[in-house]
Amino acid sequence: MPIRQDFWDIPQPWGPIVIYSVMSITTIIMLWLWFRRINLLRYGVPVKWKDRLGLRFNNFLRDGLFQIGILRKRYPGFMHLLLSLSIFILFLGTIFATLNSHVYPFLKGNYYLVYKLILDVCSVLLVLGVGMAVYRRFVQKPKYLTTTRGAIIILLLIALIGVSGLLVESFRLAIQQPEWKSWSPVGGTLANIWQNLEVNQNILNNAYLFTYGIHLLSIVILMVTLPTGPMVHLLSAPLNIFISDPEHTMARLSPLQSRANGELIFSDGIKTLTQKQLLSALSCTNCGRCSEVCPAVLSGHLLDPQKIMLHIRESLDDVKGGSFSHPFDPQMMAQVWGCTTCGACENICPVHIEHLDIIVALRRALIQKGRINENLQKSLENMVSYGSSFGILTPIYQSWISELPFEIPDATKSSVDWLWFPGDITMRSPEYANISRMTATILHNAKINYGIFTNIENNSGNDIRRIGEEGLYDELVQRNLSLLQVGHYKGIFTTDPHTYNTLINEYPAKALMGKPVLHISQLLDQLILSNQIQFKNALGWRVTYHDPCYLGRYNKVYHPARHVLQATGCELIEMPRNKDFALCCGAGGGRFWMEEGALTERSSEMRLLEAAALQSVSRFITTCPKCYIYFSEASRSINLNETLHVADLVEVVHAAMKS
Amino acid sequence: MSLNVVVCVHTTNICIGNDPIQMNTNPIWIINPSDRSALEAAMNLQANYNANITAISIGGKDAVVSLNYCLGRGVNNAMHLEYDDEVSLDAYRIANILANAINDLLPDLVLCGDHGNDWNSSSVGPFLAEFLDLPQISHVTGFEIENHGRFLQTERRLERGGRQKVACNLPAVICMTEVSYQNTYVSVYRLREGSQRPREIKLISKQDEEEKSGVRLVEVSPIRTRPRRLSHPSTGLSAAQRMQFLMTGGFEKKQNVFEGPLEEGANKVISLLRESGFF
Repeated sequence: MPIRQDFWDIPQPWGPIVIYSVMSITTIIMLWLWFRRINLLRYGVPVKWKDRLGLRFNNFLRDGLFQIGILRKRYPGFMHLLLSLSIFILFLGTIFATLNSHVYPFLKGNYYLVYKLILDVCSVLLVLGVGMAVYRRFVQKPKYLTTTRGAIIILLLIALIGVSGLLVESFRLAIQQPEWKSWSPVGGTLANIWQNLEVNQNILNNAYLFTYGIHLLSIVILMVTLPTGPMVHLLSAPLNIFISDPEHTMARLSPLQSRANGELIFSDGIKTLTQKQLLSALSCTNCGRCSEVCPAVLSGHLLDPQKIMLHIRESLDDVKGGSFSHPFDPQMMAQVWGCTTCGACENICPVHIEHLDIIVALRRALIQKGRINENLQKSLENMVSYGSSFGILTPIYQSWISELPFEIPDATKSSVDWLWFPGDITMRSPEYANISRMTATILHNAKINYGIFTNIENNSGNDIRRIGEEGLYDELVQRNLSLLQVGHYKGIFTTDPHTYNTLINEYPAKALMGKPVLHISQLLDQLILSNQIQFKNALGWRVTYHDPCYLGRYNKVYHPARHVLQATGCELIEMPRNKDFALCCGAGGGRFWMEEGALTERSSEMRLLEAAALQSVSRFITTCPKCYIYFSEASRSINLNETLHVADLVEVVHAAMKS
Repeated sequence: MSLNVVVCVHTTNICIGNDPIQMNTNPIWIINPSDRSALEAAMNLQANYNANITAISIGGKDAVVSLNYCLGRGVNNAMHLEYDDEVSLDAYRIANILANAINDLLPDLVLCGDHGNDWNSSSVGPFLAEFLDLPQISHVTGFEIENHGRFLQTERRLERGGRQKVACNLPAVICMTEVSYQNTYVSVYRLREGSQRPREIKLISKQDEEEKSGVRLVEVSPIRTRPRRLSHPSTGLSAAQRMQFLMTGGFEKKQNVFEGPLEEGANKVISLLRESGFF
C-alpha cells in the first residue's frame, strides 16, 4: 500500500534532529522578525478595526485569499495566483506531512496518492509562476515595475524550492521505483529519465541528499527573508485588507485625526499617520499598477503614488528604538501637490491601499505649515474672504445670467422645484459661461421650475478638502448649509461633479433634509425619460465620452450621460480607457488653481489624442466644467480644435433641441 | 543674538462690488498687505535668530482680525491698543499711540508696512521713528542683520526698478513694501488657534490720546449723500455716447436726494417702492 515514509534515506537519528532543530530556530526567527516589523505599527495613530467583522472577513476572502483585485490585470494576476496558491498548498502539504508523522498517520493508500499528485502539480505551477514573473520582469519589462535585488533573490529562492522539490521526488522515485510513481507526473517522468540514462544508484542517492539539502536551505533562507524584504506583503496585505474600513469610499475623505485631548494631528511623519496608513505602506507590493494609471506620473510630475508608499515604508523601517522624530523628507512631501485626486491609483490597487487619504493627510500638514504655491495660496485666500476662488466680484460675475432673455428665480425668495447649485467655476469662469447659459435655456424651455442663489457663488469645498484645507472646508460647508436651509426647493442639481460628490458624500445628510441631489447628466436623463425634453431629429454625431473622475470613478455615475447621448441620436464610440479607467484631465484635487510646473505631456492632451485615434469621432463630450476648460485648452494647444470639438453634454442637448 | 522685534499691523477692509450700501454693511476685513510683508520679515527673524516677535495693532474689533492673523502665523505676543474711533485718527496720532506703547517694549527693531491700503499716507513709520527717536528706512524690500544684532543693512526699491542699499544701527524702524516677502499661507485652523491665544489689551482713552498727541477732535459732520456715479458705460449707449461718457468721467445717474424730516422721508421711500412695483 502506498504510504508516506518520513525522512526516507536521511541518516538516522541525527538527520531528523538537525532538520527539526534548524526549522524550529528558523520559524522562531521568522516569527520574531514578523512581529518586529508589524509591531512598528504601534507608532501610528490607532484606528478602529474590531467592528463589522463579517464585512471585513468578506473583503479578506475576496481580495486577500481569492485575489479578485489582483486578477483585474490578467497576466500579472494569473501569475500571482499561481505563485501564491502553489506556495499556500505546498505549505499546507508540509503541515499535513508533519501531522502525519507525529499526530495521526493518515497519508496512506489513495489519500497519499492524491496528496502526492497535488503537491507535484503545485510544484510545477510554482515553477511556472516564477517563469511568468521572470518573463514579465526581464522580457516584457513594464515601465512602472521596479525590479529590485530583493525581488530577484526572492524569485530565485522560490524557483529553487520548486525545482529542488521536484528533483528530490524524482531521485527518490528513481531509487525506490514504486508502482504508483505515475501519481507524481513530473517527479515520475524525471525518475524515468534518470532510469533511462542509467544513472548509478550511488549518484542518485548523493543527488537526492544534495537536492534535499538545497531544498531545505532555500526554505530556511526564504523564511527569514519574507518578513524583512519586499515579501512582507504576504502577511501585511491580507491584514491591510481586513483592517480597511469595509465601507470605505474614496468619495468621502477620512476626517482629520485628533488625539484624546482634542489636539489635531497633522501627518508630517511616521508618528502622525494612522496604523492603517502605516500598514498600507508595508502592504505595497511594488506592482506599479498605481503609477501606471496615475495622470501625474504620466504627465511627468514628480509625484508617484507607489514611491510615496515606499518612502513611508522606508521611514518606518528607519525607526530604531523609537528615534523617529524627524518629519518626512520635504521633497517627498512637496510631491503630493502633483496629485489630481482622480482616484485611479486607489481604484486599481489590489491590496486596499487608500492613497488619497494618505496624500491628503500629507497635504493637510503642508497647509498647516503654510508651505503652498503662490497661485494656490491666492485662490485659498480668496475663498477665505469671498467664498469664491475668483476673488472679489467683478461685473463678469453676472454676465451670463444678465444676458439671458428670461429671469432665473432666486431660490431664497421664491419656491422652486430644483435648486441649481452651480459652484464658483460654473458661475464665474468666462470659458464656461456659454455652457451655463445653455443649461439655463434648456431647463427654461423644458419648463422646469428651477432657481438659483443669485447673489451667492460659494465654492462647495470639494477640492478645498482635497487640497488639505480642512478648516476652510468646514467654513464653506457651514456657509453653504446656512444658505441651503433658507432656500425654498425640493431638490438640488449641480453642473459640477466635484460639487455633486461632496454634497452627496460629505455634507451632513441631515442638513440636506433628505432632498435629492442630482448631477445635470442625471437630471437631463430623467427629463428625457419623462418626455419633458424631446428631440425632433437625431443629431447623428459620432462622439466619444469622457467620464469625469468625480462622477464616474468616485460615484459610479456612468450611464445617464450615455443615455442622454443616445437619446440625442449621437453614436457613442468608447475610448480604450473608459468608465473606471478613464484618464483624468488633470484639474482635480486643487490642480485647477496651481501652477502647472514642468511636465512632459499634459494628461488632458494625452486623453484628447486617445480620442483622436478613434475612427471619425468629431466630438469629445464631457460633463464637468473643469474637464471642459482643461480639454478645450488642450485641444487648442495640440491643434485638435479643428478636427475634434470639445463639448459639454449640455451643448449636445441644446443642439439636439434646436435641431 | 536675541532680538526683540515689534511689528505694527493694521486692519483694512475690502468691499464686494461697487454698491455703496454693501460697502458699508458687508466689508471684508483683512490685514493690510504691506503690514503682512512686515510680519513675514519678522517671522523670518524668529526662524533664523530666534527673535521674540510682538505684534501690535490699534483699533476696535477690526484690529482683532490682524492680531488673530499674527498669532495664527506664530508671533510670540500680541498687543491690542483698543481705541474705538480709530477711523478718526490720522498717521500722526496713530504713530503717537504706537510710540507710547512700543517705548515700554524696548525693541531692537520695529517693522511696519510702508503704506496702508485705506488712507495710503505712508507716514506712520516715519512719525513713529521720530517719536521713538530712532533711525528709519522706508520702502524696504529686504534686510540683513549684522554685527551681532547691532547693524542693519537694507535694500530699498527705487523708481523704475532701481535698488539702493541703506544701512543704519539698531534699534531702528523699517517700513516694508508689499512685495518684499512671499507670504506664508495661514490656514483656517491656525487662524482659529490664533484667535484663541491670549493677547495684551490696553485701553486707550480719547482724553489720554488727545493729551499726548496735543490734537483734539472738535466736530464730526455726517456723511454727505452724493449721487451715485457709474463707472462703466452702459452697453445700451451708442459709440459716441460711450466716448463722451469715458471722456467726461461718467454721467451722473439721476437720483432723488431728499432732505427733510424722517417721517416725510419714510413716506417718500414707501411711495418710491410702490412705484417700482415692490408691493
